Amino acid sequence: MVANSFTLDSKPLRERIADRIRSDIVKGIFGNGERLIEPKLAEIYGISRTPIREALRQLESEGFIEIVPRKGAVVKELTLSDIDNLYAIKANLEGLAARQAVENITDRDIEKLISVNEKFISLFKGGDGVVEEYLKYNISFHNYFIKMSNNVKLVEILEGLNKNFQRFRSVLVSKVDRVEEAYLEHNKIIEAFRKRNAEYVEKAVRYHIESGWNYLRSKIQGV
Amino acid sequence: MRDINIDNTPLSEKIAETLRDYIMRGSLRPGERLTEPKLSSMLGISRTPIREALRLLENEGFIDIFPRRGAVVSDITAKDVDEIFVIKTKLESLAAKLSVAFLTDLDIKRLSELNDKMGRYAESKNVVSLIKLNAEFHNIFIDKSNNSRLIKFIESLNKQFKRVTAYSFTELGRIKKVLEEHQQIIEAFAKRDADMVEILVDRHVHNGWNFIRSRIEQKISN
Repeated sequence: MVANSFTLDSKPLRERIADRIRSDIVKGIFGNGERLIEPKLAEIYGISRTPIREALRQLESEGFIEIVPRKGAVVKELTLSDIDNLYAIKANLEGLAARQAVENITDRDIEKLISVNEKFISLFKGGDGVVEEYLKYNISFHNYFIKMSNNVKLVEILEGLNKNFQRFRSVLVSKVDRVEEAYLEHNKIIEAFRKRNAEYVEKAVRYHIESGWNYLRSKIQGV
Repeated sequence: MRDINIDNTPLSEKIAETLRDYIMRGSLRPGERLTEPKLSSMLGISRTPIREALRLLENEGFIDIFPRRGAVVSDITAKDVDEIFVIKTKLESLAAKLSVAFLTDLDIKRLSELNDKMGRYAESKNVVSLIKLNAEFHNIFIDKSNNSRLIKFIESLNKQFKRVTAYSFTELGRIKKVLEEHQQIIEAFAKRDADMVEILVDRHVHNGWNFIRSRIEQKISN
């Protein structure tokens, strides 16, 4: 077997290939509508076709590619309407995760959420912040309460869903303007967790995600 | 061994169907290893379609494939059922609510017809058809939610959750309730009451959840 960057890891091969193809799509190496042909990919990555086929199946379920009759696997174009649709699902499922997390959350977890949120705002007090850091702490905050749902399948599904948003990373730059609002919305979420109020936390999370998207959307359309 | 008939269904799918059935019935038990040579001799078929069938079953959650161990019949716990259903409940009720704006009178008629058909199959105890018709019923409003991502999502979830949801119609106990709940949903759609539709679909999927869960718990205690 050919030794290459794929062999030295504990993740199943098909997952690592899926990661690689996904990142190539995000980078734009494969463009919208471009055909992904198994033998060609096999050649490019130096792997046999079976794990490639499975990786493509995985990416299809995530929505990165679609199977078009007579063309085969093509990179799915991400339209504004698509992103709308994805955000509707994200808002609902993250709200659900937060709701489930209420059962499991401890005071220590709440402390952790507070500290992540404080770190988040402290990076930006006074203007220029680094986008990567912003994204990292925001994601960190969300991932923390998502994991606290203790619903393995939900965590997996949200991981897959959230990968789609990497595709418009460049647009997320404009999110930095919204730091103050995001910080306050996070605090509302923390407050709801503190009160152990499942309904309130679900609403707060949905509101937060929907506001974030509305803001982004207006920025995109303004361009 | 079942007779595998010659028709347009790919051989690997026929194999998957047979194995799915054995697993559901308990003829193949959780933890049992399914090796290609073993299956090959059990079913009298060559290994390549068997390999495809195993991949399919892995996607659906019936088996797990481990490096070096191979395929093992998966265990299904109450936690698995809970995790899946809380997600399914949320997404299907969302789809139902969204679809209210887009369902036509023809769609509602179709929902009614399907429910009536299910009623007739319930009499003749035709479980396989009930599963199919039920999926068709749900797909009518799911497909009209106007959120293509959500539709694909639910479709893919249903494929993965077959292991669990297949229990819903193995007994006819629940079928009468299912028909009633479907009828209430149809009426809410006819009234274009989005909030009511969401509540009823949520309750309907939730009831299915409770039923399946109790069956799983029974199986575990047996």
